[in-house]
Amino acid sequence: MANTALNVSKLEIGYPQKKGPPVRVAGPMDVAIFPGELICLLGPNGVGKTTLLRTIAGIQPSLGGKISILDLEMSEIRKKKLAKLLSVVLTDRINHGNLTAFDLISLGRTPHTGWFGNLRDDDLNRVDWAIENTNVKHLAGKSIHQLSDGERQKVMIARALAQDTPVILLDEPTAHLDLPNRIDIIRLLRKLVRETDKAIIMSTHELDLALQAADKIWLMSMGNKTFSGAPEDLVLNDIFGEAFIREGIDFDKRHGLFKVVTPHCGEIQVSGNEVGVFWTRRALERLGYSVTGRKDCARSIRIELKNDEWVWRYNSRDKTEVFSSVEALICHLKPKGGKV
Amino acid sequence: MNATKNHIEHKNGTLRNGWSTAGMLFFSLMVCLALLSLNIGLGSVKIPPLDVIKVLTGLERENELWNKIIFMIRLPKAFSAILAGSALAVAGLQMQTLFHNPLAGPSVLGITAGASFGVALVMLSGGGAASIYAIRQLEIGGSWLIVVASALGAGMVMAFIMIMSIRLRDNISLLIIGIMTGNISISIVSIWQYFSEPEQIQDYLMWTFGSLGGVTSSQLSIFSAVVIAGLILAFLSSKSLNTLLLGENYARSLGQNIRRTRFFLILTTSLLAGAVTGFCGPIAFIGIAVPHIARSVLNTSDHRVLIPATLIIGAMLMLGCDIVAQLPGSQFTLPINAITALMGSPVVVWVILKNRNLRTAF
Repeated sequence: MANTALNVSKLEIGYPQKKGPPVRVAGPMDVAIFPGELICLLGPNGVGKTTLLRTIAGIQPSLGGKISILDLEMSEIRKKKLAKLLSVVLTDRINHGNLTAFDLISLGRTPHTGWFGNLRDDDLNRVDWAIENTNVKHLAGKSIHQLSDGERQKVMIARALAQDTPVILLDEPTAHLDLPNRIDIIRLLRKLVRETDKAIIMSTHELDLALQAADKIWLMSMGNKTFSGAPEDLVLNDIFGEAFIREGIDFDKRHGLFKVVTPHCGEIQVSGNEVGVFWTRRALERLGYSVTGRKDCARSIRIELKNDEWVWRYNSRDKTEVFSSVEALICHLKPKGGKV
Repeated sequence: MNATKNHIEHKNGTLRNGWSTAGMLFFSLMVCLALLSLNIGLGSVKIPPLDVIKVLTGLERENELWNKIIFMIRLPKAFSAILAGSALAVAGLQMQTLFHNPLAGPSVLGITAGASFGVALVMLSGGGAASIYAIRQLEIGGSWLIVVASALGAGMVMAFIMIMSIRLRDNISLLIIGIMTGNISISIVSIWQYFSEPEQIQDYLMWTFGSLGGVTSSQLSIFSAVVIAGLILAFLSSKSLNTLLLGENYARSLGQNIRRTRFFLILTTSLLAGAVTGFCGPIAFIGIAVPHIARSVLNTSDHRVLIPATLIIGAMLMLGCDIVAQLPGSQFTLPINAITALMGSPVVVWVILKNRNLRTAF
């Protein structure tokens, strides 16, 4: 097996206090990442995701255990050397209007340049390479405050890439972004691990995206345990659902989705057009019905698509009603005065 | 503008607005030279421009008065203006970047206030013997006393802030401590003034107006040595200042030792601002205004360009202010402090209006 890019063993993280023993946030934990892997760091708010990233990045000291990057012991790595091994994308906002995206990305070369920070040819080539790989060529000449949140995040990723380190840490890179931009960022990170063999660790709250995109998930649970594994294994072993379980939230293992559980209203059998069934099921579950495939159910809905027109046939107590939209259907089925 | 074009531009050392760096530098040095000759040429005693050149080049030796005026008064004053202007401007730039605050300047760290405290100590303490007229009679020794007192005052505050900078991680807290330290020294001076003789207060007030003319040729060598040393240190910190644009966390992730950088920057600023305040009095405004003018004119945040630019613009602005302060053709000289604010404030307002808001321009 190849060497690990980053190895964490028996690591305990937390904050030292002025008086008394340090506050332990999480640990001891044992996790590792190999080159060419994308890891999503998941966990409920306040479980210590940012603390873990800050500890790995060397911004704050650990309370115990070992971190090693490319088999080098973290405590023995000098700051200047660490900047060549590990780069970060933080949630800090940069507000200097006179800084162009190009300037910002080239600042990533800082650990490699001389005392005055002049870019040599290979530095410029690396910056251009980072720009090409993140598709931000059209943004290079724009100043930072002209960029949208999504563009800014890509530029920050380009900056980390220009720093040319085997390990990249990202703290919630998809926060504040809309869905297309979130997918864009994840796709970019996936492309980078595939094509550049970097080891990328990102913390996120996008559980569904993490399940789809991560090679491995590091899951920090409230019980102070950290799990590591392929997303699928974590789901199949019920670890994933349990970490986030809370009253009113249910993890649907079959679809890999968290569901908002509402009071039960009874069963309905739904059949017909596959796409129609999928979306009708969502509407019914929102109302509090449970959808079943059983034929002997008292109520049933049959969905058909004829000449580009959707039709819902609702059958209850041998009475059949026809609806032409989900809206009309749920209007009819909505629990009235607490009773169905 | 695409990346490749930008790439090439960086290689050729061209700034974004089309001017070449060398051309810009040449142009501003020419303007600086023009202002310098205007500054030397004008004054309360009329000397024809041609004769000024003759005196400077040593062709005119007979007129002893002219020689004395130009070499003993006007030249030292013009050089003081250049030194003070560039030192304060660069100190202001460093403070604004370090504290991420467009309103920061050398005065906010309390360094100017500390220097004032030292001067007040000399001028307001003791009886009439310590009054400025008595000091003036001591000639060089007396003005040295003020310079030393001012430097000690600035150094005291500086040492305090530096000790704080080692203990505190957060720059904003440091900024507030600087302002508070300044406030304390100013209020002590006020209380002191309240119990002082009117003549002593007048002396002190005269000093607070600021004066470029007070630097004698013998002091000029020390003044310039300190300022040049400070400016070189500032230039050496360009790379650190550039990484600080990204914020402290990113700067740290790029391998910068933040505490050392901060210590170094405060040391440089204290040297520059302390020297100027000691020799010329508390000159306001240049430190805040010039960095904004430089950023706006050059449209860059790169300190490798900004430091030389603020240096030159600071010198130009100070020379210009001094020309106005002399009220050419009249016998009067206005306090330089009033002129710097009068000329500079509209410039800052113009910069803000041009960029809509300071946050994006900064």
